[in-house]
Amino acid sequence: MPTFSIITPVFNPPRDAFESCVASVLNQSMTDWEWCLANDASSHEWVSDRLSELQLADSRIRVMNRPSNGGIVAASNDAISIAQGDFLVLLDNDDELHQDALLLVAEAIEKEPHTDYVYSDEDKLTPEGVRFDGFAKPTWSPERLLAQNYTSHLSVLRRSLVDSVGRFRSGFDGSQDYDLVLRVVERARHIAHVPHVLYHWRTLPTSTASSASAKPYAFLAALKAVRGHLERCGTSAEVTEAGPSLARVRRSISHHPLVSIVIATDLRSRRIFGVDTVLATNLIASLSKVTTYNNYEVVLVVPPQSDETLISKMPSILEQPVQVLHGDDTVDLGQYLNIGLIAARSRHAVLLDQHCELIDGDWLATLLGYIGRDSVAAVAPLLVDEFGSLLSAGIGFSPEPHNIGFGRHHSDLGPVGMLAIARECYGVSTRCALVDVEAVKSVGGFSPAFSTIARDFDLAAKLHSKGLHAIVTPLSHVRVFDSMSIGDRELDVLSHRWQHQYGHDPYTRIDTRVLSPALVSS
Amino acid sequence: MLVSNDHSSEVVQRDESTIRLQLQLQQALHECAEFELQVLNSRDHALGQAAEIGALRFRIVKQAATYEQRLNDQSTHITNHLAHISRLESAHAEANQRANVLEAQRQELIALRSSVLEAQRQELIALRSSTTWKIGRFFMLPVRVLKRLTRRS
Repeated sequence: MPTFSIITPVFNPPRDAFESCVASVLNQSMTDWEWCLANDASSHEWVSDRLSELQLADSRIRVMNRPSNGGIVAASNDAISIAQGDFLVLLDNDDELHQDALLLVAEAIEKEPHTDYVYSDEDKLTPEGVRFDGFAKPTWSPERLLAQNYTSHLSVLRRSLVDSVGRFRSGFDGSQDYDLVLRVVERARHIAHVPHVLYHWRTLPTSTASSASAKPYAFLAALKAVRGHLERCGTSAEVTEAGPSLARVRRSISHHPLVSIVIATDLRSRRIFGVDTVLATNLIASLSKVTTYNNYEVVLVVPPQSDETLISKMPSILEQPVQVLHGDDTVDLGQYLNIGLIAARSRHAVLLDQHCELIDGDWLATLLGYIGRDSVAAVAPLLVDEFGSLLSAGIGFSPEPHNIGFGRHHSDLGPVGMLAIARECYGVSTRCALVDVEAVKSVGGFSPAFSTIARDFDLAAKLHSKGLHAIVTPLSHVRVFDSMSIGDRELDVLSHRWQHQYGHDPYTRIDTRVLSPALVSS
Repeated sequence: MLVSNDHSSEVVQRDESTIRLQLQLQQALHECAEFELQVLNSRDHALGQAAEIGALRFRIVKQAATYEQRLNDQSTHITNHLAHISRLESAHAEANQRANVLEAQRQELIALRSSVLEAQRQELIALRSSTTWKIGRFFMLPVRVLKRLTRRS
């Protein structure tokens, strides 16, 4: 079994809260731990008396008294300097651990001995000790970690790795743990998530738990930590604020590969803002008008016997090359997309639905910024309707397939800010998505069994079954003139295939019924 | 002139052959794309079948769990029912026993009543056969006669 050193810097905590913290450590079901406390020259007299009393009462408790107040970074590092366990467990002096916290972490480490970093779910405590605001965290999501310190508490780090990265750094006060975690994950061999609430974070008026604005300096330090992390990883990016305690990372792309944009259309028309419009023409016009990225080709797949005059006009709208392909008479747009993917000449291709309209100039460059990482099969922007409501911020599979954020306003931050940040998700809508062509082909592309957006859920599940996931980014929005509905028959077929995956989405573990009131519209 | 004609026919032939080859190439590419589409659909079919097996297995496990639960519920129900029957039977036996006791008590009471009645009857006979009774009856004879006459009138 691994051994644990609990690291707690102590500075004038509320007495009741500290006593609860002490009780939560002493009541651990796993008893093989040591508790390293660094008293950062607390001015409250009872603190040093109580710490001495604890040290005398239990040989596992070790106290270091700092001669002067040095701040949380210095105190935490002093506590680490007296630690001897294999792993460091970070615990604030007013928070509480779950009774089985160390036991469950030890089990996770035993399951994968190369684990260097473990994090768990968490909730908050009112000053009176009532638990609230539970956060069921996603599985390891490096993109999300750049946008928010979602792993936060409980964090358990291998001591040797913490020593090798230089422990906590000054200049990151308030986000020193975030900075440390970012440096540790750069070198970690394996990162584990314990899907249980093992940490209770007390909300005092001055703590970050009460509100993100309680410590504005902490957020500035967090942005600095993310910038440092990206620099060390050799990624050129702009890091800005996306909301309370939320960062937005916009990567600069160093090379400009050819991108095939596959558009499958049956050349239908509909009224857009009061004008009868051929959807594909509207899409290609918007593509030509706004897209700043200039190394792309368009693969247009149309039904046989289409209006040649209409089609011949489309290439003239674009300055880029256009391949026009003809699908079969069934006009199954999923199969048309497959035909387009086969004809695509690039490694990554954009799938664009005819109902889309592009509104951001740098949409393609933004999506390209996320590709090239292992196990990412698709990247998508937020899809919004003409009234500004979200249609999709990724696909979730818990409790059942749904478009995340459906029906919310596009500026809504969503639970735990998830709609305002780029993050990993189970899948994305292929209304507009940059996909890894080979990955999509390896799972058979779009299934002929589906004719509506159920094909997106099916593709997401197929990719997920191959260990692949997607990223959704709020840095770009695409307008969609469609309700994105699914028929009951297709839901049945989907359930027939993937029912065993329902409720097992590792990225959307929170109750999606609360998140998306209108789950799958039908 | 002959050479020139030969040369031009050779060029024409070469052009025709190039065009034919280009057409064949286009046809081959088209067939290739069609085959690739078939491969994609086959892959989807294979993955879909595998997924359906997974879903089926899940449903079987879930159904088995449901049946197991139902079986357990039924078993619990039967156990409870048997316990209830057993409770009823013991209550019935107890009631029977109590009825027997009551019957015995009733018989005892009946016997007691008969013996008391017999004793009182004997006492009455003894009373009526006593001299005192007979003297009393003799003295009361006129009164009885008078009473009888009064009733008749």
